[in-house]
Amino acid sequence: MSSITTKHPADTMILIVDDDNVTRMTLQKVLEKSGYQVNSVDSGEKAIQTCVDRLPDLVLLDVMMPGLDGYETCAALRNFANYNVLPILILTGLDDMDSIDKAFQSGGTDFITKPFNWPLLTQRVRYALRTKELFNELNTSQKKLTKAQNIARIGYWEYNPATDIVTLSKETLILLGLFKEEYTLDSFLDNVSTIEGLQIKSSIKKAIATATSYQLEHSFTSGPGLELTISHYAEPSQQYNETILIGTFQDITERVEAENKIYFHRYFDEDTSLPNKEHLLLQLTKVIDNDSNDSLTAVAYLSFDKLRSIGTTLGNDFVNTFLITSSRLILDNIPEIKDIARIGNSSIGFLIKNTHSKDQIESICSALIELFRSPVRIDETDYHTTVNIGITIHPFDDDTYHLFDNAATAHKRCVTMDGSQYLFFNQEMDTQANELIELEKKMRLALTNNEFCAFFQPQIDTASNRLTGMEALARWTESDGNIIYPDQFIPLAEDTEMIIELGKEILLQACQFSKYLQDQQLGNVRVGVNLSAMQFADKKLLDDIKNILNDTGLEPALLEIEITESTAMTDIKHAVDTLNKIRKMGIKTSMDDFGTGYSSLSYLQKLPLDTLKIDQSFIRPIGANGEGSEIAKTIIAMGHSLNMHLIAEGAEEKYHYQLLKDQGCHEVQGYYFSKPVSAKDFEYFVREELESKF
Amino acid sequence: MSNNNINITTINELKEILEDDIFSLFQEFRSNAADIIKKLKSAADNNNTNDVLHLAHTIKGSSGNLGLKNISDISQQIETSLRLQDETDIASLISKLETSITSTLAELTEMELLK
Repeated sequence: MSSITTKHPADTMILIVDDDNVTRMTLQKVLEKSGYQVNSVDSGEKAIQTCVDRLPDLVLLDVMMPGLDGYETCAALRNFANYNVLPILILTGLDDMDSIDKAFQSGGTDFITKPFNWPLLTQRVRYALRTKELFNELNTSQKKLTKAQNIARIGYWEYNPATDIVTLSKETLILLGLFKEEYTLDSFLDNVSTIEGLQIKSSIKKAIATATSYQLEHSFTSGPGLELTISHYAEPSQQYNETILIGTFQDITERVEAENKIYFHRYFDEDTSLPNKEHLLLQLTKVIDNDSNDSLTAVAYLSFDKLRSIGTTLGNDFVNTFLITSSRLILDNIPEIKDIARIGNSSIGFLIKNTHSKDQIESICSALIELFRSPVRIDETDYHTTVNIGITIHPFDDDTYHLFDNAATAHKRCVTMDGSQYLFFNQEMDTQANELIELEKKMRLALTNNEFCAFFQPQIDTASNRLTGMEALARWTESDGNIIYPDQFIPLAEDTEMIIELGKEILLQACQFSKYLQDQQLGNVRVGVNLSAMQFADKKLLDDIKNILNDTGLEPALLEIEITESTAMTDIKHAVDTLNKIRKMGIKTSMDDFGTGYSSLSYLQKLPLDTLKIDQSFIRPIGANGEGSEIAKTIIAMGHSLNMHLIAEGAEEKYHYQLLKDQGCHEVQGYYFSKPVSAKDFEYFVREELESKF
Repeated sequence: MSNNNINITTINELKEILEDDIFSLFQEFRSNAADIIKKLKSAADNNNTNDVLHLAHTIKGSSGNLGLKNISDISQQIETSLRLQDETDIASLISKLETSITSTLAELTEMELLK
């Protein structure tokens, strides 16, 4: 508490109320000599009037007065608001015990007996004034304390073990939303959970037994039913030979909520509420730190094939739902996986702890892959996806802090590989990963330098033996003339979304070239252009195609858009919708690599397709005497029954062409006629070679 | 200087606090006293006990506070008698009070507290 700041006497107003003017005058002069400001009146009525105008700091009040006497005046002054701290000194006769008693009852602060002891009188006045200041200070500091307690949301409580009574302060009552001040311990603990109740009881017991304090944080159901978090402190205290507990309750609900919020933002993904990478890292660090045995910990990075392109069409909400559903699936079906997190937009990470062999980890990965062979069902719709998993094993890959990066590298490599859906990290990959980064840089530069160009492979009509179409294929020709093939840059382009820009460029060149051939009177050569899954999902696709057709002036019927089975199956609704729109523009639609995916006939029928392209893998192995041609024949027959135009790829021999022609395949494409060549070479091919071939 | 009429200690204490201001107090007392005696007599003549009581109480207070012991004592006797509802001696007490006032004022003049 601050030191008492006594008012300067000159700022102190003393009111004298006495009907005897000699006494009044004497008091006034004496007090004025002590430096006080003095106002004197001769009646109670005038005293009250004066107080209304200006509240004095002290009143000297005579008892016996005509009109309102001293007691009545005193009581009247006390009834004024804020007058309860005003010192009122009653002037009374020494012999009159009765009047002294009455003075107190009517609210007098003190009494001064007549005849006055003058030196003592000024001292009494000084004391009364100081008491008032003290009282004011206390009052102010109590108000401040109450206010501080309200702000800090603190309240006091006491517990007397002898009587088993918990007593709560006014602040505590407000804090906890309770009305009763006293409870038995058990009835008070009804507001906390059973476990916390037991914990509190044992803390109380221990505090009393060992004379130590304790602090607990626990929940508390407030009177109105709010769940509060309370910080609860108590210490034993001696009171009249009894040990009681005194303590505080502080409502830290908001603080805890804020802490939880911070914790959530740090360790959980906001969109899915799944743990995030930070969380998984924390789990990993714990495992590694506690690694006293020789168990292995696998860190894995898992992505869902095509999820990113699905996200482009169906939006992030879908991706979020997909990740939540898939994570749930994993946790429910693979008991070895307990720590899972979202670590990328369309990828999750997980740990496999306490394993003892690589085989064990491999079998868990196999189980995972098997799990996602069945479609993921969301809102009554099945979504087909495949997973790719990159794995690294601690302590085999010893660099703790790079375990995640290593898993990601293995994953990236796994995605670009055919066949296996999971891959373990090795050092070689790291080098390759660095090469990939270099490649990405090179590729971005190549895009701006127009190093990507369309190559073309002819498609021959089997009925007329004439060139009717061509497929456009992307090639990267470096400045030194070195040609890079799509398998080396398409996965990276898809990974980095450069595929959209690249795809647009190839589409433009393809349309330009077909138009050029037409302008050169070299015939109407239809051009097939592949769309990657990401391009196909791109919202701007239709506008881009329209603009390119407008800009190049190519007839839409000379353009054929090719998508793969997996692109179509990723989101069948979107595929049907987009293909219909493409067809409406007059453009042909085609399914590329038919037979390699998992599309069923029923799906195939739903898709608005003009053409099926039979994958080369069904053609190339066919022998000279037709051996191994069953699948090709079946596909052709099926295509006929679906009334589809058929183009076979991978014809390398004349007998391939003959067989396909015999089976009624409409067009054939392959090395037998030409490998994919540059526009310049293709033009030459068109001009010179086509006729001579037959 | 010892005196039965005057409590010299009280006067000295007052003098110490008030210095020269003390003179005006005695002057005020003198002019009030004449008035009060007049009122006392008339109240007593009219058997207005309440007024007598109140006037006696007032003069008791002011004289006592100024250390005028004899005046205060006689006023006290009047007050006490009336409270005990004994009115027999009131007239003589009032004249006694008047005499005391006169002699006390003379003494004060002698002490150069009154001019």
